[in-house]
Order: sequence, then C-alpha cells, then structure tokens
Amino acid sequence: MIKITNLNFSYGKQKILDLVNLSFEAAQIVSLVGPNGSGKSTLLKCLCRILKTTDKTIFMEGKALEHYSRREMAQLIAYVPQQPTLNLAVSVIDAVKIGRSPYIGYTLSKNDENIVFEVIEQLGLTEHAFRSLRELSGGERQRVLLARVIAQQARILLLDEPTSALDLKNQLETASLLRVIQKQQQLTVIVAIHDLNLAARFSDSVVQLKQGKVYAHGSWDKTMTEQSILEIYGVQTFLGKVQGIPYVVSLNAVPDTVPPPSGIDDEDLPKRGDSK
Amino acid sequence: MNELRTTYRTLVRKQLSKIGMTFLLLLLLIAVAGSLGVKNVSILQVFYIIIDYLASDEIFAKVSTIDRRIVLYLRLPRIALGVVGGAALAIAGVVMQGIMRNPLVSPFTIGISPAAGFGAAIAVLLGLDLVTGGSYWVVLCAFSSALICATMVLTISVFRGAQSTTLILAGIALTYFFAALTNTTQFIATEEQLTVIVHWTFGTLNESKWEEVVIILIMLAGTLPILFRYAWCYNALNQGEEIAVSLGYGIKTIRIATIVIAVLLTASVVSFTGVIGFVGLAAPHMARFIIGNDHRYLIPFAGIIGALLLVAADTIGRTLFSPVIIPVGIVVAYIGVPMFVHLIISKKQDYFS
Repeated sequence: MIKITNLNFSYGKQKILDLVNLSFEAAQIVSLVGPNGSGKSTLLKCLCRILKTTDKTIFMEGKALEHYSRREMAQLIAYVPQQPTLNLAVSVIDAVKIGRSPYIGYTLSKNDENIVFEVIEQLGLTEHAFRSLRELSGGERQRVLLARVIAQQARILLLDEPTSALDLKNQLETASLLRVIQKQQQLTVIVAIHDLNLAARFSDSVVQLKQGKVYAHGSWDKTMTEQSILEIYGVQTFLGKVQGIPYVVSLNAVPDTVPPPSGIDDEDLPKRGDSK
Repeated sequence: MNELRTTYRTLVRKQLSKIGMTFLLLLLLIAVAGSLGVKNVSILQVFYIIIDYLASDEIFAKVSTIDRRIVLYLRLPRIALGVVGGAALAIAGVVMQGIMRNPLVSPFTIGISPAAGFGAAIAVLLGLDLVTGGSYWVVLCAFSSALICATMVLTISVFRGAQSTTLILAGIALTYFFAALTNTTQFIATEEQLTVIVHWTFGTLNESKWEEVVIILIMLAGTLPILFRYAWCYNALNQGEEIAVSLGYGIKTIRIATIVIAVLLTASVVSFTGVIGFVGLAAPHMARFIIGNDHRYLIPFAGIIGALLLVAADTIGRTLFSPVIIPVGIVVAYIGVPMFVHLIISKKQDYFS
C-alpha cells in the first residue's frame, strides 16, 4: 500500500528525517511514536506532499507520489494537521463541505451533499451542523476535522496528534470512532501520537522514531519494551497489562521541590537587598 | 438526514435571497440616482430614456431632448462607473482578504493608489493632460505606475512565499515611497499643475465616459470566472494552509494569481477615478458581516455592496450641496467610516480567526 524508501528531509542544515525505510499494509492503523522533534509530523507532511521530498522515495499503491496529480492525491490521501489554524467563523457544515473539494466543480452535487449529511450524522454532529466552530468544544471541533477527512473519502488518513488536546473521555471516544470508521471503510490510517497508552489501545502496529530514524516497526508487544522506551525517550518505565489492556507508567521521579543547580552553594546566590 | 437537507436548503435559499434583495436595492438606487441632480428627472422618465436608447427610437415622445442628454451622457455613465468601479474594488478587496486571511489586506494597503496618484502627477507635470486625448495619457501613466508598484510588491511576496505580514509591511513601505515621489512632483509643480494633481487624488466620478465603464467591465468579465473558480480554494484556505494543500489546491499559484487579478482590477478603477480606497476595505467587511464566509456567495455579494456604497456616496455628494459636487472619494469615507466603526464595535465575531 505505502512504501517509503530512503526518505531524507531537512530544514536547512537540520536533518529531520534520515534514511527512513518503511512499508505499511492496507487497512491498518499505524501509530507513529517518538519524542518531540523525532520527525513524526514531518513524515506525515511528506506523505501528503505538503513538504516536497526527492523523487521516487514514496510510493502509494505502487505509484510514485509525485506522479499523482493534486486532485488524485487528495482523493487518495486525507490529512488532519496537529494545530490547524481554523477560521472559527465557519459553520460545521461548511467546514465538512470542503472535504468534497477533490471531486467537485463550482456546485455541490446532490450526491456530494448526501455524503456530507451522512458523515455529519455518523459523527453525531447533527445538532451542531449549522453552528459556527466557535460555539463548539475542543472535542467537537476535533470531530468536525475528522468528519471533513471522512467526507473526503480518501483511502489513506494521516492524522497528526488527533487526541492531544482532548480530555480523557474525548480521547477514548475519538479513538474508538476512528477505529470503527477504519474497520467499516477499510482505511489505512497513520497517526502521530504522544500518548503511548492510547496508541496501545487502537493501533495494529507501531513505528518508533528516534532523531529522524526508524528505531523499530512492528506490533505493540514486539516493539514496545521498557528497553526501547528508555532508549528512545530516555525515560524509565514499567509496562504491564490490566484486563488484557497494555499500559505504560513512567518511573522517573518528579521531585517535590526544585533542587538548586549543582555546583552553586546557596551562599553564592545573590540575596534580596544585596548591593555590590 | 432529511432534516439536515431541509435546513441546508433553507439556508442556501436565504443566502441567495440576500444577494437578490441587495441586487434589487442596487437597481432601485441606480434609478433614483439617475433621477436626482441639478435638474430632476422622474424615475419613470429615466426608465423611458433607457428603453428608448436601447430601442434606438423615441417611443416615449414626452421626454425632452435635454433630459435625454442629461441622463444618457451625464448621469448614467457616472452611475455605471460607480457600479462597476465599486464592484471591482470590493471584489479585489474580498479575494485579497480571502487568500491572506487578514482583515488588513486590501489592494490599497499594498500601495496601489499612491502609486497611481504618482503616475497621474507625473503626467500632469509633463503637461500630458493638456495635449489631445490628454485624460487618457493621465490614465495610462497612473495605470503603469500602479503596475510598477504591484510588480514590486509581488516580487517581494514571491520571495517570501506571499505571507500577509510581508505584504502589509512591503505595502506600507511602498505607500511612503510613492507618497514621497508624489510630494516631490507637487513641490516642483506650477500652481495650475498643483491644483490638477491635488484634484486627481480626491477621487471623483466626474467626467465619466462610457468607454471607461466598458474597459472596467471587460476587466471584470475576464477575471471574475477565475475568482469564482477559486472560491472553493478560498473556503479551504479559511481552514488553514495545510488543509487547503491536502485538499488538492496549488495554493502558491492561486495566491499569486489572485493578487495579480486584484491589483489589475484596482489599478484600472483607480486610474480612471482617482483614489477611492475605502470601498475596497469596507465593502468586503460589510459583506462578510451579512452573508458569512462562503466565498461562492461572498464574492458576488461584496461586488453588489461595493457598487451600492459607491453609487450612494456619489449621489449624496452630487445632491447635498448641489450644484457643487463633492468628490466621491471624500463622501465615501464620511459615510463608510461611521458604518465601518459601528461594524467593528458591534460585530459579534471575528471573521478571520
């Protein structure tokens, strides 16, 4: 389905992605994990050509990415950015409607309209359909973003941190919604995600990134070990299972008080009222 | 789903009827404006004259020849120029704001009008306005100067990826630059030339000609289809640049094309009328306030609002202290600014974030 060979990407001299080789099967949810700056977002942006890469490094369904026209690509791949700069003075239906962009001329056909209405109902946004995004909560806005990419009817979804701004309940709801739709429509979903516990719950496989390189790619049980997490994040963790659900707990202590910087005695610090 | 469909249909109908009603209002205003003036002609007679003219006959014999001349050669060209000029300025403003998602951006904040003013001043300084066909020389100079300014802004924005802050900053710098150039020409101009230059910057619809209306109409006819085609892209850009790209829009090309079109429209209007900048900023905001952010409705609606604003302002300027005509550029600011300020204070939401 998706094949990435020797993908490099840099901003100026800063190398972000370094010889990434990956391949993803169709109809699976893949989680991209790794610390900030490990290249998760950049990888997603390369996959939908928001960032241009060198030719013949990314193949979708056997065809090099640069051989797709803009429209064809938008019909194949949909993308939800991490912190979209949404204009909130837009109604839900208008925000979902633009998902039909890759298929329409100037007017929405009846079929296009039906797709938009169906998606809005499926995601439980019916009562908000004509409100502006400003009136919605963060969780509802996230669902509008999802509704837009589902209306786009692409077979590949790229989601950048779809849950990081949500509360616990909304996180789980978004994740399960994603899972249901993915199964229903046999979508290939690639999610960049920080929350390892959530990633464990809904992904078929995990890609671990470290400083722009692929550290490991495989099932949760094979890739996520205390050792690999220590090497990627530099954090001591404990991995366990509750009722068959895997979880990760970090063991690094968070101190109650901030220790003074080493090498400086208290007496060296300037005191209030000190004058030199 | 049926419920959603019905509500949606009602909403679309509501939007279309807003556009329709405003258009009717504009037609009414045109008729009223045609009848008002130093010599009042009744609205009915204005219609008779237009029908007669279109039929190239004198079906309604009761209308006097003087009235015919006044309406056909003095009032209607002026009103028509107000309509197409106001529409062009407002549409240029609305698409510029659309691609930049910034309420400050308009063809005027990027220095087009002071540049046109400088071009006109140079023409006057060289005495081109006194030779045969002089007024066209002034227009040509104003237009070329505006294009030079636009090229400078575009070059800057191409280098910097057409960011709104860059455009505004470049525009402010160029505004000062061209103002300084104009001031220099005024400094060395003779008394008579100075009067002409200053009058040009007022912005008026005086001495409007049908040829000017036709030229702007051609510009509109050539560019509007492109802008309408981009309407969905402007809507997508509303949701952020990355989303627009992921939906298959080549936004770099669309941005540059939009700026070029907006600049051409503005430059052609301003070259004929002088500086009437405020329409390009105020009309798009008023239109957004009434009809919302969907550019498929917003672009034509802003055009109608722009036409309304300009024709209304000109009619007031013509009749208030008749027979003295106050330049429309001045009146439009007096009417537009209070409306605009009211809008800023009272509007419930921000349309750009």
